[in-house]
Amino acid sequence: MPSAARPVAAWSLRLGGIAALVAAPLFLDQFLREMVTEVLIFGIFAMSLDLLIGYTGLVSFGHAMFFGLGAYATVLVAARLGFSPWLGILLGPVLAGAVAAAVGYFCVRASGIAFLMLTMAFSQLLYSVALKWRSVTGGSDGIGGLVRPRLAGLSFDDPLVMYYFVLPIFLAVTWGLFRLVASPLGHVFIGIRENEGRMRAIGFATGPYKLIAFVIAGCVAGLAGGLYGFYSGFVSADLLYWTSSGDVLIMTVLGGPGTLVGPVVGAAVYLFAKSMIGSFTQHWLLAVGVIFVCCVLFFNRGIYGTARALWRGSA
Amino acid sequence: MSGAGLEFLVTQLLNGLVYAMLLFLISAGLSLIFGLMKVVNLAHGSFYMLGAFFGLTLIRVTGSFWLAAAVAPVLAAAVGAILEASILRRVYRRGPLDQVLLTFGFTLIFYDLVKWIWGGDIQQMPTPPALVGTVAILGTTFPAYRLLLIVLGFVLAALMWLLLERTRYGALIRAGVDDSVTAAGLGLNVNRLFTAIFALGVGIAALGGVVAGPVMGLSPTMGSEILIVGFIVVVCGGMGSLAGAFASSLLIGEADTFGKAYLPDAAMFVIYLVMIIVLVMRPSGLLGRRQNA
Amino acid sequence: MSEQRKKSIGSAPSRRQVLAGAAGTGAALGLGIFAPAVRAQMNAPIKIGCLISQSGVFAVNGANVLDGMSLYFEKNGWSAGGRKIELVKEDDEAKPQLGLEKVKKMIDSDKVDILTGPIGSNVALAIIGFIKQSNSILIVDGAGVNAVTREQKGPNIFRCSTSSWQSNAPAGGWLYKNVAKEVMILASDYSGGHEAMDSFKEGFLPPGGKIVKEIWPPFSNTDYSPYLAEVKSSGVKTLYAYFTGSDAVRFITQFTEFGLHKDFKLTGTGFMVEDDALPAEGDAALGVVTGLHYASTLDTPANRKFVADYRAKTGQYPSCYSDYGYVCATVIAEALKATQGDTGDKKKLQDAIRAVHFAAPRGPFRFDPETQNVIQNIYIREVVRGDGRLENKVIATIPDVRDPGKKMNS
Repeated sequence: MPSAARPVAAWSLRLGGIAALVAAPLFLDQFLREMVTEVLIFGIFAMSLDLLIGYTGLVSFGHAMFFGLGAYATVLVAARLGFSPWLGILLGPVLAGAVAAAVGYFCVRASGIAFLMLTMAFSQLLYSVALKWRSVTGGSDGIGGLVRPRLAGLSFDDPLVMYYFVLPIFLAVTWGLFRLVASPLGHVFIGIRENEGRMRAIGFATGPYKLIAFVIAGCVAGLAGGLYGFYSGFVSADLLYWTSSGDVLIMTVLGGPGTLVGPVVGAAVYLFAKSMIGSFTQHWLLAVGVIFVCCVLFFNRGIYGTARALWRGSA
Repeated sequence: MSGAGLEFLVTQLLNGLVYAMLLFLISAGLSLIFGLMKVVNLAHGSFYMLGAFFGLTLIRVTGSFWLAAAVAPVLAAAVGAILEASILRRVYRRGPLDQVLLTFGFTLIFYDLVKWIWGGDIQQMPTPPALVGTVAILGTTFPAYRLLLIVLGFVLAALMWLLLERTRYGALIRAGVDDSVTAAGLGLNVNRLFTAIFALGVGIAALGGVVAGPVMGLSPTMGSEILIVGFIVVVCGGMGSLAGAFASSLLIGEADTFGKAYLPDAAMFVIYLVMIIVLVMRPSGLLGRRQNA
Repeated sequence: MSEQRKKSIGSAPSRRQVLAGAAGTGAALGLGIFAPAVRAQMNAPIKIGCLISQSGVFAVNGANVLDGMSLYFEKNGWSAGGRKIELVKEDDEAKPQLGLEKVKKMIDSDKVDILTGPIGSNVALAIIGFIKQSNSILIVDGAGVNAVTREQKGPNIFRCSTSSWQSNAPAGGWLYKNVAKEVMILASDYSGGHEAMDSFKEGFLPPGGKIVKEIWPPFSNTDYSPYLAEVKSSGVKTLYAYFTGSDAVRFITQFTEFGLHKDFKLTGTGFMVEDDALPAEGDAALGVVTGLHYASTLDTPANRKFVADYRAKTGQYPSCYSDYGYVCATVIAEALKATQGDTGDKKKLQDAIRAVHFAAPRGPFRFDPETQNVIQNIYIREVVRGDGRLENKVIATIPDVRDPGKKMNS
């Protein structure tokens, strides 16, 4: 393909993708509409982790804490305090961002394995709070009872309405993150991922930049969590357990770290495997695990990353 | 202090020791594997689980707990050796993060395989008949089998110390832990050493799984549950330090047990807080060796 | 009269004739077009969704429920109301979040006609919101959480198992009179355990009972040693406990492992020593006194037949969970018989379910029209050695227990 045609091809793919996202639910049944909504929500979550892993080189094993905080914020505000769920969704990223600033301050001073273990430890710390503070969080039973509002006669209980509410947020977040990684700030992140020592040598104080990345990622994850609380109507401490952080890590790595789109693909693959394979056989986790191991070993660009490389290679 | 109060303390102390010994069996291997190979083996809990389930099947087939406790760890260590040599070895050059992801992938696979073969429910492992019943000790009555666990833990700790400090193999391991590049330069077959260390480490964890069976029960989630506590122990005790793992196991074991009795709502929180404080202040742990940044 | 004779062959049809003709054609066409659809609906299998636990704490209980259900349907040719019955099973792993996902799948994707389950009270609380929002028919054949037939009740929500109140409050009153005036309580720290103890207090405290200590091990716990040490230091000799599934097995075996059975009397909710758990607990369970709505030793024609059939099918004695499944299947079948297989008219089906009553293995069964919870007997049982096995011998019966529908002042 001649190089002049490549941007056109790329743009038409992007527009095609967006068009597909806009039109898809009209052809799907209620359950699949819910599934696609979940893919979008977890897509936002996975993209936020990609900002950390793929672009700044910080492998966090505790990212679920921000997602969980967002979900709890939404459900608590709506179900326990009786305020509007809209307030809860707004509160999600704010609460998650604040906690990310506090937690991140300690985590970014470490790197590599120590960073990983610190993030794991903090998320388990928050998990222990969620588990034991039954009066506020409902403990392992969780809290439900979020009543979804009506807007202009449309009820958010309808999966179609919910989808078209989540979709613009998803598109906006995606656009925002793409702009971020292309910006000078984003280039600093990538520089840190490539070689932190060199960044420091040329005068960047990498600590504050890592913290910024951590907080942004936390906020976006909190937004995803808030949307999830709104969508599901229920939240429990399980969302904060370390294996939930592992789940989103799978999505990111499976899809392709450092591509932003990849993690969304990874989320889709993971969720559909869980639901669809899960209907035929109980061993969907085995399948996902094997694919994941293969990705780490052989395709460390992930599904989307490898596909993109092949497509570019053929151009 | 009243008699009942003293008895309570003694019982809890002993309970804490039982848990500490189980934690030591997990953390010893985990600490060694990290110390030597710089691998954070997230699949370590899976080997604990494999040991338990291999043991369960062996008991059902042979009827002997002791046979199972001897053979199951060997089987699990063999699985570990194969895994290390064939798959894990490929990612050493890539740095610690890929190893984490890889071993994490293994946990998913092991979880599903165990659930597939042995089922998803929580299963019981019978206490060996010779050790059923209680023993009067230090003013309280305590189950005989659990007392054995305490003894076993101390014996194993002593054996491992002897191995590391007093034998040639131990010297090799310590050399590899301190400086694997120089050790390789001196003719040490680092590959084989790594495989042996990995097998030893997961084998000890598997032994922990078998002997924990009668106390903790078996389920496919037991791997991920014990792993996180194992990490707390290793972090607090120092990555790569056996003495640190032992001391830290005692600390965490007793803290957890007494915490459940006196501060049931805060115990878990406090333990993670301790882990965080240690990590922030000394990323290599309380007794660990300094890691390069 | 002469006008009528004028309407003869060849003359223009009257308006009435035209209308009649049109109606007749329409009806014929309609039947022709829609008949296959109607026939299809009438012939399509009825899908019963089963949200049970196939892993985790309640795995064995879930298997019991399914066995009980299958037993009934097998004996009745897997059909009811003239249509075939199909079970759609999903595993909630005793996790609320997962249970909610599976319920959504069964209702929105599999389009089940009736949903049954879950076993865990935690899962029940998680799904109840969605059940009400989607207006699906739910027959709870496991979870005891009171809210399902109290604050959260609805015309589409039924319970054929038992409420926490029913399992614990009457027993509380009986225990005060017959066993001890002071107890300590031990229960799993989740909604099921908390409700059980709240209900127990409603029966035990008003006549003057005292609770000396409360110990709350976590749900899905495997090692009870730190908590058992507290038992010894409490100062009372009687315990009232609530543990289910594998938690119960581990608790009872460790209770005996620590020698506590020699000095302490253990009582509690019957799930602890039901026939699913007794074989694993062994002699550790001897002498435990519990209250429950079922005992496999009940000497009624319905139960004798049920036990014999269940043993023939599975080789084991039925537990109360097996009775849940069997009763649930009976309710569904009887209701479908009443509606002649019609599942399209939800209200008609709900009315039919509400009206079901029969002699169940556990005793006389009927729904309370106020709460749509079951009205049943509660039995006080003691674990004894029967012929060749451990069993729950009924030592007292509290008949016709009806859940009060709201919290009583204690």
